[in-house]
Amino acid sequence: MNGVHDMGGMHGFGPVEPEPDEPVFHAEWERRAFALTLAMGATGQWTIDASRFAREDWPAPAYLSRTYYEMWLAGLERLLAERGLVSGDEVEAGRPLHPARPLDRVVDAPAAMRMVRSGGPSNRDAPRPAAFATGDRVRTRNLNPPTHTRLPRYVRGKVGTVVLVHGAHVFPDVNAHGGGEDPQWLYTVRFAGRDLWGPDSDPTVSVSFDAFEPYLEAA
Amino acid sequence: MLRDFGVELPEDTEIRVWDSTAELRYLVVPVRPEGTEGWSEDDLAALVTRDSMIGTGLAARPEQVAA
Repeated sequence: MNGVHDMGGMHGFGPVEPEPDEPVFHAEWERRAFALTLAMGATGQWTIDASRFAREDWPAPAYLSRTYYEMWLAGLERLLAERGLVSGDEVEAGRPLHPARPLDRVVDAPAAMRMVRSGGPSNRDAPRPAAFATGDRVRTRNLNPPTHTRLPRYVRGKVGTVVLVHGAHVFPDVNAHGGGEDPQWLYTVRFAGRDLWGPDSDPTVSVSFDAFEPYLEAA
Repeated sequence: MLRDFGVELPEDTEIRVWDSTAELRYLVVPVRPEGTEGWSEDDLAALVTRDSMIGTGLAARPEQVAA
């Protein structure tokens, strides 16, 4: 979706203000919101891509007025409500009011630690040969789905060069919406800064991003 | 934007931006600071900062970590 989360190349947000000795969490509830999101993700009730969509699919004012972990919590509350795991009155009350729906999979603390350390690899067996190879010139398609995508706006309809071929990976655009993993070839594509940002761009700049094959056509 | 992070680079430094749009993550191997010839791996590791591994800073200089 063309949401406000897709900020690449946008002006108007002011300078970055680095924080000295920035802590991982600024409050205890942030740690908890993060842990809750990971623990609930492990129940298999939704995918990581559905989880990302639940955080980005918001009106711009709601998105921009929340802090990072407020957004995580809002996304989690939405996923829980959509799947009938927590109801609005329970969120309001901050405690369970109705009998809990049993889940097939629940993680305890040691399992959560193993999960965080092992990660969740997205590489899969390739269903077909790759359409592109290193060195190929490719054009990004001008796709504007209202659903989840990892194709940033600033890079649509641009010509670049394939610099890495990563094998096949879970395709977030489909996996976010219950369509299964639909593995697709994944490439790193490099663009000259001037092809993205015009003649005033720093001539030394290049930008690389990871593109799933459905985002690309031969140039 | 690098200036927001207090980083000034020579005009001719090539800037390579990597937008991590899939599940792959990329780390920068920081440039070895001058004056660290012969240093052990552990001593060099002490110069590595988070910012130097995400492209918003350079590795610490030897005098910044002098014991």
